[in-house]
Amino acid sequence: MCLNALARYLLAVYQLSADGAAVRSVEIANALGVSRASVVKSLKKLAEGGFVQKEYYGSVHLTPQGLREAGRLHREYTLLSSYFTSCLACPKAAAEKDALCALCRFSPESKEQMIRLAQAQAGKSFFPKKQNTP
Amino acid sequence: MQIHESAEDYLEAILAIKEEKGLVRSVDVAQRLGVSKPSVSRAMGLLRENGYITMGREGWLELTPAGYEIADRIYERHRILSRWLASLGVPEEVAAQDACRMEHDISAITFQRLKEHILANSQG
Repeated sequence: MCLNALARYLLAVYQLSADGAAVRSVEIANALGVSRASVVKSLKKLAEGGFVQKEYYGSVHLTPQGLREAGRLHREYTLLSSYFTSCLACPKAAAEKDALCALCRFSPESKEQMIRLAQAQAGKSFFPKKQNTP
Repeated sequence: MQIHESAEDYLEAILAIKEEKGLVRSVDVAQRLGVSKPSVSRAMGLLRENGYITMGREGWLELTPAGYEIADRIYERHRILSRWLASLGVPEEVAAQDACRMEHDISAITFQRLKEHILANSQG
């Protein structure tokens, strides 16, 4: 199953289901700026893959497998986003949009390198060099 | 006119082939994009209708100024994205493929930063 194409939908379910509550397809459609029909189609594929479970009236919630995978995607997305902000000084909104694009479309090799650099940069910020200022 | 992503791919391909070979035929575009000749013919028809290309005698394709502007923008994005990923240590072939997948959608500001980053590092 090509998860890449569905990654943004799985991620949206994860982000919208703050405490594991079911998410309605219309909420996902609004969050992603896509049609409800696209959402329904994608949720069907995610359900077939065992990542979400469908409830009444187009709501879904994450399965344990879905939660693990979405958590992994979210961590990757956060690191990709921080690559753009901390290594390239991009504004947050652009960084997040491009991170999502990279998450869904880039090869594992490219993502790995970006994440490596983001983590290295984060390491530097966490332990800044000592300043000789009063 | 809002140009479709695949139309941008066709225009970019024409520019790339022109730079590599000097002259462009529909069959070259088909080969480069991995699409069928009928698909290319249909696309070329639409691009001509909308003033992005002209087709000379013997079927040589040329970009109009409007077509060139779009092709150049996407081609530049492709080159910079490929160079950026390669500079991170990504194998060239993979870098080129990923560049293709992002060249249409990358934010203008991010692209600007990448361009600055690449140009700065290539002088270092």
